[in-house]
Amino acid sequence: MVAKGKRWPISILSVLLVSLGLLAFVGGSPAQTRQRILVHVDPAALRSADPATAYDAPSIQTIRGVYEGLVTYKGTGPDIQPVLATSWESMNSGMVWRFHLRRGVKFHDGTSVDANAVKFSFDRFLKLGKGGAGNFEPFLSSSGIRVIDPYTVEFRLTKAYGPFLETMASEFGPWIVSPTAVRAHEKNGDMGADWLKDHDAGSGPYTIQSVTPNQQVVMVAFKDYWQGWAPNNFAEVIIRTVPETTTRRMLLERGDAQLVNRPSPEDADALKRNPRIHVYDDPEMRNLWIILNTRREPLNNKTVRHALSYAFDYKGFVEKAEAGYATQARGPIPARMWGWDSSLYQYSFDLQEAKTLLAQAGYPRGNFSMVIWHLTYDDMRRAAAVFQGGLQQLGIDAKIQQVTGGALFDAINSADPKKMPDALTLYWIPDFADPLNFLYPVFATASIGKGGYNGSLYSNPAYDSLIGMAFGEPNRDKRIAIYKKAQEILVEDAPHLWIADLHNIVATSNTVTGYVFNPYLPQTFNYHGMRYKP
Amino acid sequence: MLLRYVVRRLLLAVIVLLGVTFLTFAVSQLIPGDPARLAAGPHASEASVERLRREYGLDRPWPVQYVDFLGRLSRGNLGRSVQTDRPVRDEIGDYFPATAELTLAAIALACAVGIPVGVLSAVWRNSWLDHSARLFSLLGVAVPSFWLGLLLEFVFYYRLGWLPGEGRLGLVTTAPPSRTGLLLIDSVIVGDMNAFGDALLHLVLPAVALGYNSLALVTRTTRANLLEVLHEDFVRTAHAKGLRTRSVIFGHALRNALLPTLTIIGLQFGYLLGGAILVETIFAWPGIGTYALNGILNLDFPVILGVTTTVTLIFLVVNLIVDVLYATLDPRVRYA
Repeated sequence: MVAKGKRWPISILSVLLVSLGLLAFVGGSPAQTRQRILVHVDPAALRSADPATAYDAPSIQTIRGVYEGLVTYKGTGPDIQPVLATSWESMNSGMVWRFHLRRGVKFHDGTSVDANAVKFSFDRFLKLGKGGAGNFEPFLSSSGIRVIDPYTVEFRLTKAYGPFLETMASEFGPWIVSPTAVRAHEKNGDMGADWLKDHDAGSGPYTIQSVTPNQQVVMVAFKDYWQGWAPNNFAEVIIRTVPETTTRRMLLERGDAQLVNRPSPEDADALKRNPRIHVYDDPEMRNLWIILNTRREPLNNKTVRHALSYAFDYKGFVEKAEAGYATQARGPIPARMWGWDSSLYQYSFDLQEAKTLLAQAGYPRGNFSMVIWHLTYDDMRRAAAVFQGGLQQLGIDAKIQQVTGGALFDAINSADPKKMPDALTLYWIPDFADPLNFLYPVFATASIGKGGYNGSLYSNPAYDSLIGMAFGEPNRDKRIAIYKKAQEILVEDAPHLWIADLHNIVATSNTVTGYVFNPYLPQTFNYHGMRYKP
Repeated sequence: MLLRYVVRRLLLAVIVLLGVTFLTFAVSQLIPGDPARLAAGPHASEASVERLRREYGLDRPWPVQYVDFLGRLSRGNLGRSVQTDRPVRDEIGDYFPATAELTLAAIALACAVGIPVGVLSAVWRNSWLDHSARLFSLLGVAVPSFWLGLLLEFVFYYRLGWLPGEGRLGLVTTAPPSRTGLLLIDSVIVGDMNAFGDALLHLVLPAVALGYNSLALVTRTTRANLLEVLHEDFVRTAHAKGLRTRSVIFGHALRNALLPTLTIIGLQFGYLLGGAILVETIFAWPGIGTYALNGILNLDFPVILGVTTTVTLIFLVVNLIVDVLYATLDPRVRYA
């Protein structure tokens, strides 16, 4: 049908076109952030700002900005430096530790940081029993924490624990909170847990101004912070949740963000070409493994495990799959961790050697199948794919399955070889700066099943005995000697493929300086040490 | 009669809700994994995990957990998230308005553009406008929303700087006091036109990305149905009686042609509500899609159940409204 009089269709069309046109003029990019505000865009959101219970990276990022512990790690390494404690000594072969506190430090609510606050914080931490409390429970109880005088606090351990100081410097748990603030907001005996999810009771450089769930955390400078402020410190830090990596990159390049955490390797490469952006690329403590089920045939045969260790294209994975943002691993602990043994044997991609070893083990043409699990993370998925490629060239039928964290933990905690797949890719990040946090929870016999993380179901009494010695040894040099032997056993027994030490990638605008990455404080930032460059 | 129909539908809605929650509960129990372990973290001691399990009642048999859930649901209590330990009702209250605002904007866009374009396309059939509109709507059906979202963001934010790239408000804009959670409405209520303008600008790209598919469907449906109706006898009679074309189309034909479109819109609303997660991810839109996904990945049963119950309820209400509107638009429709 033909419409007579075309004025009204033209009217509709005109309205549509004009509306679209107006949009072009109405729009405008958001206002540039003020210079003294640091906008940090991160893929995941804060879950809880409670320092005693938080255990995820986004929450710890905020916590590190608003709280302090007695000690922390120094610079970029594992050495311990004083924070709220100025000095400490150990007595009785490491069974007693005494800390002397810094005077004149205030919490954000104006009350003083003293020994009572330290005892209160640790009591609360242990009583709530969540987050990083599991790292302390083996050697510390509330009754062992004593106030000697207003600025001296003593920790009496229930058993000797070599890495005590390293655990105290950890970012998972031993933060000091204001008892006054916590008690004032306690509800139904929750020890202030509800309130602390989105408020703070700390003494750190920043204080939480607001938390908008799943959107952002706004922290403002605490003007009475004991370390003081430089003229070009950031007055405000906003951590904004932006899950999509491409969006984070665009925000940084447009100047609407100044710090981006974990850009993808592809985005990192592109950002490196932008003269207004600086990309930090540092090996970190996160190392990627392929865990083999040592209780299932034929992987219960060490020679087969050696063969599979030669079936992975390590160089190809590092250079192509990770675009150079990784380093091939040498052994079970990352190269940056003190105690790492640089003389350890390192497997290479050698299919001929793999075939020879398989033939020795009675599988000359492979002819068995494997299931490889991985979580949703890209690097795990890629590692599984690379492994599958190598295995198929050996005549091994390998299938890859993506699983959820729940399924993975379930299988590992079951300690049932039938519930575990033949192999799974995983990475590990330590809670504190000691190789024990790799070597015990992942490889000790006691770590099989609930509460542990021994996914390979590996068990070696000689290894267990060594690790037991390290537990109670306070002398670091002696621990290094123990760890060297432990690493040699693991490389020989090959319960895992040691794939790569992954890199921490952070990109900042050139207007930001002072960012320092400490692999012992992973996935967090030294906001107070960062400056803006006008 | 309509009232009786509405009451009957509401009673049926209760049965549907029970069925959906039961199925969701049963299926979530089958998913391997221990939510308490996931919440406590891999390094947590078994004692910590056990404490968490007891705290959330996860140590009880699942039928007991389900009955407990129904009891709480009848009191409007959706439990507490295992991951965040916050009431699920409060969290849904935080996240749902963002998705609702985005969905409503997408639907509004779909109707505001899709219906007029569909009408023009039908009226000027086989013209350049018709062909353009059909190509436009074909693309809308074919193009994935996440890809479109990235493209829009790249062009209008990154390259041109015309529109914001993420979030609901800019950093320097203070959110208006929350009355509904819908920023456009809340800012109008308090008269904060700065926040209104900023919220509107932030809404444009995600609404277009999310709504384009629906817009295409509305355009195609409107065009197809109007074309059919325009050949009906009553339309010919209207013309023969000397009515102007505009009156024939808007007064007679469109009202009949819109009924199937209304059904599409109702269905699309539910689809957009549940399917906004990809667009929400790209634009960092703090909606219920991301919340639900995190709940699923972390086996946070209270969150999974809470979101499922809420979305089901809304879907049922929206479709009831669509059915009631049917009766309003078409007097021939009578509900027994």
